[in-house]
Amino acid sequence: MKQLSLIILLICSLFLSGCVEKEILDDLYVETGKAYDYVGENKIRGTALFPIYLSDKSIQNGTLSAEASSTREVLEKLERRAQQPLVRGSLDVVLIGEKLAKKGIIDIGDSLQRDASVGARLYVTVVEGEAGELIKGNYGLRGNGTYISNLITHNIKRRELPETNLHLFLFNYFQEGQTAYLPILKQLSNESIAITGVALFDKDKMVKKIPSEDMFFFKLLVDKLAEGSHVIKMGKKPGAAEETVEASVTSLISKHKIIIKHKSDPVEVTMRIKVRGIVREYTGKKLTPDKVGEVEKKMEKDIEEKCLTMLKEFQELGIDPVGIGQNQKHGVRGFDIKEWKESIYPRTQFNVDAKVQILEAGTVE
Amino acid sequence: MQAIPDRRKISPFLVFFLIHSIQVGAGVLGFQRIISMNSGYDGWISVILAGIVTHVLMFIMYLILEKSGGDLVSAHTLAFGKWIGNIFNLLFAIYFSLLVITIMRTYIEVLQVWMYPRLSTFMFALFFLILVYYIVNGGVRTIAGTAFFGTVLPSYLILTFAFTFKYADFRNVLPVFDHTIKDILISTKNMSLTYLGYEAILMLYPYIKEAKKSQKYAHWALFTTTTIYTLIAIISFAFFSQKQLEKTVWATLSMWKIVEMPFVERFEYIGIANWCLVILPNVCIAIWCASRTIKRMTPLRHRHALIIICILCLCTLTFITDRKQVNFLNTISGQIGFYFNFFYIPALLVLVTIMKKVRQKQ
Amino acid sequence: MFPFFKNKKNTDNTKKKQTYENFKQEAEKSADYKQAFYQNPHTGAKFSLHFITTLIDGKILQEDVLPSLLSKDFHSFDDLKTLVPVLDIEVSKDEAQIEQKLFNGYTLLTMDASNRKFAFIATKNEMGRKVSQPEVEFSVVGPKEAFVESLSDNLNLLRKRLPIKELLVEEFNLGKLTHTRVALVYLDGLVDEANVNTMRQRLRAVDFDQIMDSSFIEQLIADNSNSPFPQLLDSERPDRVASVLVEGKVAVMVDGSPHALIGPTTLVEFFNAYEDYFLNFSIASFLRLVRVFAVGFSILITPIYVAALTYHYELIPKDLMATLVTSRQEIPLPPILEALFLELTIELLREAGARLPTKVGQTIGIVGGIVIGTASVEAGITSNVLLILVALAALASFTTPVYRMGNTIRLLRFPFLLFAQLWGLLGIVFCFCLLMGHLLQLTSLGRPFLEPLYPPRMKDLKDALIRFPFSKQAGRPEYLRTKKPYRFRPSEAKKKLDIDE
Repeated sequence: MKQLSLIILLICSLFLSGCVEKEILDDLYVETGKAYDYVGENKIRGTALFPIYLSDKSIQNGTLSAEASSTREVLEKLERRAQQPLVRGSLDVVLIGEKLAKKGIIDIGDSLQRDASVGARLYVTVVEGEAGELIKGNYGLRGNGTYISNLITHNIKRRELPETNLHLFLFNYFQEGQTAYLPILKQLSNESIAITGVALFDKDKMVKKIPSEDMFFFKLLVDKLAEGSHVIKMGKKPGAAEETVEASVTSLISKHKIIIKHKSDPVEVTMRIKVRGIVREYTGKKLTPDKVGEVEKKMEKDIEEKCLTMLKEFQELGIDPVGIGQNQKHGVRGFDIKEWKESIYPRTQFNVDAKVQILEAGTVE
Repeated sequence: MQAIPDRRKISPFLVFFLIHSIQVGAGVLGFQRIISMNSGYDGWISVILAGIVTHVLMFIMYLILEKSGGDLVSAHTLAFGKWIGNIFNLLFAIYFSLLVITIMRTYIEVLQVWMYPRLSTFMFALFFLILVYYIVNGGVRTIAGTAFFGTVLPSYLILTFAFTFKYADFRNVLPVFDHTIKDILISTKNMSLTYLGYEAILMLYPYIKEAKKSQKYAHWALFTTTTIYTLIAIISFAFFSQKQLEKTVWATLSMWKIVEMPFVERFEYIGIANWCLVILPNVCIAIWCASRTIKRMTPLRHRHALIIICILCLCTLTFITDRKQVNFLNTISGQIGFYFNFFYIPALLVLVTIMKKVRQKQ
Repeated sequence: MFPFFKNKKNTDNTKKKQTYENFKQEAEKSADYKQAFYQNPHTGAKFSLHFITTLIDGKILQEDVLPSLLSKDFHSFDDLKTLVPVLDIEVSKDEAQIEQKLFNGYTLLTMDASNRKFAFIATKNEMGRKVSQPEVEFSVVGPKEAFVESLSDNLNLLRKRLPIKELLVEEFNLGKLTHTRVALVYLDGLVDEANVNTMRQRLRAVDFDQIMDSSFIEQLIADNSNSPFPQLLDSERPDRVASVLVEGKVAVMVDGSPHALIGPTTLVEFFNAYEDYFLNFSIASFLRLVRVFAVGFSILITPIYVAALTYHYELIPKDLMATLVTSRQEIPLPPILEALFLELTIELLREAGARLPTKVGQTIGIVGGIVIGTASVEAGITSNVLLILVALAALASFTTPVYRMGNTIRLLRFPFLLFAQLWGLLGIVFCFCLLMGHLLQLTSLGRPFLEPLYPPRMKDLKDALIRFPFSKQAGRPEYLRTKKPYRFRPSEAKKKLDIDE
């Protein structure tokens, strides 16, 4: 009897004081997207995006905006306007306005990293224009957050956007001898968004944009395995005046290999790029095996030119999204990052060596 | 010491699970930051070194146990005589209680940071200790069963680290041996907290059937632990960049943030909840060792000693409140464990050997 | 640790010596006690028959006993055996036996000539159910004979299948008022003596006034009567009991109960249907795994729903969010109360269905399942997702072949629900640890309950969660520690023929 009353006492006390805070699903506003814009000195505007589920299973996009001096204060101000608590566990995308990106975004990165409920797979992107405006649109049928994250996901998987998420961003940011990069979105209308390029960062400030035509080459340089397609301009059609023959090559697998001669002075870097692809479209007459060879050679030339230009630009700006510095560190003992940044990297010589192999050309010749 | 009936003993094969499960505890969740502080990305070498040291120490422990013909209390009695031996026994009991407090408080802290910020330390510790009491009440066989399930059931968690390979760069660990030997040795010392626990064999020895046969299983257990820690260390180093790792307190848990499966979006909650099953054998074995030491020294019954130690741990636990104190607790446990294992155990072996020869001559 | 002797009351040592006269006085109060007096016309011997009319088969008396006693040379008790064509005739002087034998269907024969001696003639009316199909352990393939209430019939069914002299039957008489015949059956020379001794000791120590069914015995001799887990397996199939005896277990059969108790048993046995042995080993293994998965699913799915919706919204996949949120929006109850409401409704339906007669019971099942479920979703008391989960869980809990285990699983769900409400996923794991600690300490006849999972025995795993073909099961289960550990010698490897050889 004594044991039983002790057990009852314990169970009662358990239910009274052992409880933890509940977050019942339908009483929450689950944030799927966040947008930060630069408003003025020490002021940012944060907009939270959350889906409102209607009873006919359709999803309405709800947004709330507030201005404050730090991301945490923005959240507090937003909470004061929200009907239900705002929670960040399902955050899918974080959009950062261009102006704010140029000023520095590591605070946002830190707040996302520190919060235990935020996942590491969310997408951080830069927005051309105002991020808050973009997030207030109405895209797709399943909510803006899902729309944007799906847009980015399939472009990473099959097309020319390099692999990115919060974890990779922070990895690159903290890595010695590497700098970070993020995709750039632009709002085209109230119903559509487009990816317009890749933003390159020096530390946490945006310094350069790579336009969408060059994303393919950038992806070849940074991603381990890359897909994507590229249109090669082949030169004039015989007989025609203005039109050029174009061949569209989709790369199935591309690999890059960075070969560094660590000890030589200046350090020599060779990028060996191997592309295996198929021809998807060809506007010329007949795609004979000779023509295929021509396409291959032209593509190789394109790749080598473009990549070399890009690498030199990075060198001039002092940024290193490809991670040359990190590669150098792998081969040298006692690597000094300061020395690298100041004297060795600006003098590095680059070489790009591309090899393209076209496997198939479709069902017709 | 009264003989232990055969139906209370466990088969030597289960020693593998006992030793392995008491080592894998709360240390593995955040040890990567600690080792990378001194030796950077060469830390995996210190992991292996620390593992080798544990093998040597286990060998010494088996020698002590065979010579003293019983458990640690017998060894103390043989080496120091009854009264001084009892002082050392008390220290040993306090050491194990400290381990209990450390593991539980660290785990509760993980819960409070990652899952439930308002979780009451006292309540959770109370119920956890009630569960532990229930299990320890069942004797060594039940504890060995808990160790068995606590190793086998959460073993799938190792597979989840495969999700990190996509975002990992294994060349991060290059170049190898880029740090001084001194740095690596300091990291080895700091690593010791994560490996602690295998001293429990000193009290468990009489409960093993054909105890000599169990030595190879104990070494296998240490080997498994070392391998798993090394793997996790290397995977963490590949996954995080060095400065990023220095900021990440619980690297293993942060790695789970990237796991994505079709039916669960975020895996770390499942992992942390499962971790309760992993630390349960740790606490059970440590508390059993502490209470058994007390029982062997004093006329108290084992059950009463168990209740007293539970209450003491619970009280101490509740007073450790913030991150700094938990950190301090972990460091202290690590240091004490290190000195105990590294210096005291070999000294004990020497003393026991000498005293045995002296006694034989008499 | 485990009490071997359950009821430590002192046995009634001072049994009053029942004399015939005392007995007669008491028995005459009952309307069906009859005394008939006869005199043999040829020899003049006077004798009387005393019997309980409702217990005897009158035909035996009329056709076999009386004609022979009244027509031939009947002088004294010694002639009985030569005259009366009845097998079981006993001449005795012990008056204490009268009550027991008379109430077991014997007829008492006394002769005026000698007062001290009397005879018992077996005239029992064997009335009982005919051997029919098993109710609980029905199998699609295989024999369809089940035990009946009569102990003799049951032993017949058992002996038929094991026609060897090693099959020993020890009888006990348990129950102070019911005097139930209990038989302890085992294969001598094969079974471990410790098991038999344990069972024997515990049966002897049973001190209860009524033993109506084998489950009474099971509850009285169980290692841990506080546990919801049954520690002795019960079966109503004679083929299963025979098979299990051959493995080296001990069976207890109770008169009046169609279920036999088998021990020692382990947890994994409760997921094995006997039908598994009639099917191919791969199909049987698959079915066993389905059962284990179903049980796990049944216990855990509702607590996981409660935990995910109350604490861990981050776990829910994005596509499922819309469905879950819209289905929960109108509901006034938090997830735990919703879940409890549905669980209790299902329990209500089950109990109601079990109590009602068959014809009405079927209607209630359909009404309850479909109408109440749909209506409660429409009314906004529960969400349809949860309804599906609870219904599936209830369905899954029926997959256990042993009825007792199904009941245990029904009960186990509730602590998990409560802990899920308390601490979310952590609570579920904590409750699992509690369950694991309980199972680890449970024993069946002193053997660990969780064998062969823990202590891990590789050999026994061949017939636990999966089943290997008979050719690979050359050994008996290790935990039974039988005296003959091998069933058959594994044959030498057949020479592998090459292609087209």
